Amino acid sequence: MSISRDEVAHIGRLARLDLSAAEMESLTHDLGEILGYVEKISALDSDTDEVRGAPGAASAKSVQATAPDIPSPTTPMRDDLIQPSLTTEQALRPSADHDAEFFRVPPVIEREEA
Amino acid sequence: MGNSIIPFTATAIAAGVKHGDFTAEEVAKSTIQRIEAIEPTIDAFLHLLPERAISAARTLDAARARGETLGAMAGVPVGLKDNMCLAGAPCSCASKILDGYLAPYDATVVERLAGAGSIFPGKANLDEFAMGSSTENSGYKTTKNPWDPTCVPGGSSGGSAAAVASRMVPVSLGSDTGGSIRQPAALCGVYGLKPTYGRVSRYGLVAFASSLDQIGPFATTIDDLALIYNTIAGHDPRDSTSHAEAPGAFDPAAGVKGKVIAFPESVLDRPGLSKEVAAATRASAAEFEKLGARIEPIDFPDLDAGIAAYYLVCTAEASSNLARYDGVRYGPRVPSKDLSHLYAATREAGFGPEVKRRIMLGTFALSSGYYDAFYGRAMRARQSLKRRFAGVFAKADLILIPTSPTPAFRFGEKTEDPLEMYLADIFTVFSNLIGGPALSIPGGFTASGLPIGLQLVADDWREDLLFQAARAHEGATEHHRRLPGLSAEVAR
Repeated sequence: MSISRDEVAHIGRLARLDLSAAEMESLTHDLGEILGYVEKISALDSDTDEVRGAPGAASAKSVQATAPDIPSPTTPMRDDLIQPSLTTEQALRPSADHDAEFFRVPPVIEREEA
Repeated sequence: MGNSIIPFTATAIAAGVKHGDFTAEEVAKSTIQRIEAIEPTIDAFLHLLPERAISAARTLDAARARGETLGAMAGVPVGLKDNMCLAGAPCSCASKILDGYLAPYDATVVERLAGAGSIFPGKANLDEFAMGSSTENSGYKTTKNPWDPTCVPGGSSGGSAAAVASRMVPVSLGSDTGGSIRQPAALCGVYGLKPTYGRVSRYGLVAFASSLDQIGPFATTIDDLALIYNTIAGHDPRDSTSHAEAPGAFDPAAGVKGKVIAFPESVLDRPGLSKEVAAATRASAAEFEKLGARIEPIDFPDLDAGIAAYYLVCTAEASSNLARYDGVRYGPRVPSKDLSHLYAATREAGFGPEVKRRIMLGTFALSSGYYDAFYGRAMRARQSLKRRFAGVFAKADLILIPTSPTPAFRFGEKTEDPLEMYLADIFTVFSNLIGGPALSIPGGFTASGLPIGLQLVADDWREDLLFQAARAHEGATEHHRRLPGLSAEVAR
């Protein structure tokens, strides 16, 4: 599969990367190559109806079938209690620009002129 | 050079500190001497923390003097990959976008190791955000292979592997998303374990691909590997994907008698696979047979399809995880009058080429109109792989395959072609896709003296079988005893 330079520019905007012309050029080439290779995935295409995320959850059945002495994984839950966490000061410290309470950024919405 | 009374292995250090044969401070100082002698040649570390290590060691010695019982890792120096949080220390992920960032808290693995008496002399180099197979993608420095400084140490945990292989530290931690522990372990001639997904808490590990990432250890002996693994494994309420059950102990004397080892010999004929790697793998199969295992030939699921699925899943998750680096909350910021340009300019300046490439591929795979053809299909392929491997593990205890298709390669050899670099992970990515554990063990040397790694793969949660088999292999072979030249001198 090939990918056009316009598509690369569009993806760059979605990914919030201010790509240079030279980068756009090399990414158009590299992504085309990689997406061509990715077609090899068809060897694993199957009629699976279920798509699940974490392998732990997806494997519960097979683990039980092959190793009955190993407990099947479940998502352990914890009580919904307030726990100690970072202070505001600690969370703000690594920021390039902040005041005592907030991260400071350029205005998103301009104030309307009266 | 090194202090001759201080042994090198983690097991011997912990025993000696607990027994009072030497102090933790002496261990820390001897470690710093080793690092001073070897690091200039290897460049394994991004940040060295000698004062912090000595002060932690003194605290430990004081506790012993008060009669307190010391933990299982008393005085043991542990190298940490620089994508794990150690409170107050830098955590750069080898990226310019986190230049100067200090971690505000400890990762769970750090907390557990410190609780057991470990000290942390430094944070190890990696490919930027753990994306790469040679550590050449680091934004800061190039780590050299201890066996041949003109070769890469592998990656992405190249610093952690090289630090152990060159005998600067006895054990270290890496993270493995598609082979990032096992491949550098193979290229550096040490043991490297990727535990089952969920076995070790990821709290405090900077996320790359959350459904694939797993922390694991490097060591020069199976005893050391088991010691650090047992310290870091187990449930953590702060990581909801961490497994509730504690890992079972492994029996070091159990061996492999009667165990069935699946051996997909046809993968050794793959184009590009080194003949010396193929020969070492066959020799190791014969060794396991001699130890009493039954070697069972199998057909292996399609390796190229696995790589294809892997690079869609990991880039999609990376594009989402790395969205947080926007110049607002941490790291340097490229100032702008416009917020969205501030994001784009900061990210453009802060990320290296491979990270951008993966963010782009992942954003594409998740974008409207392509989602099902790419990400959706990769997730279905993942299910299909899981089923195929469940079939293998219904009949076999373990799988034996190479870790990497080649021994360590030269700097720059694969940097021009991203796809060729991706294929370095051909034998490792499937374990991350299916979630199960895998261990790279020293499996011999090439004629030119580069180490060859072999991989043992087990079903979910069966790390005990990996340790058992690797221990039997360790007892029957000499590969793990050989030292790189520069480290042999320091050890003397």
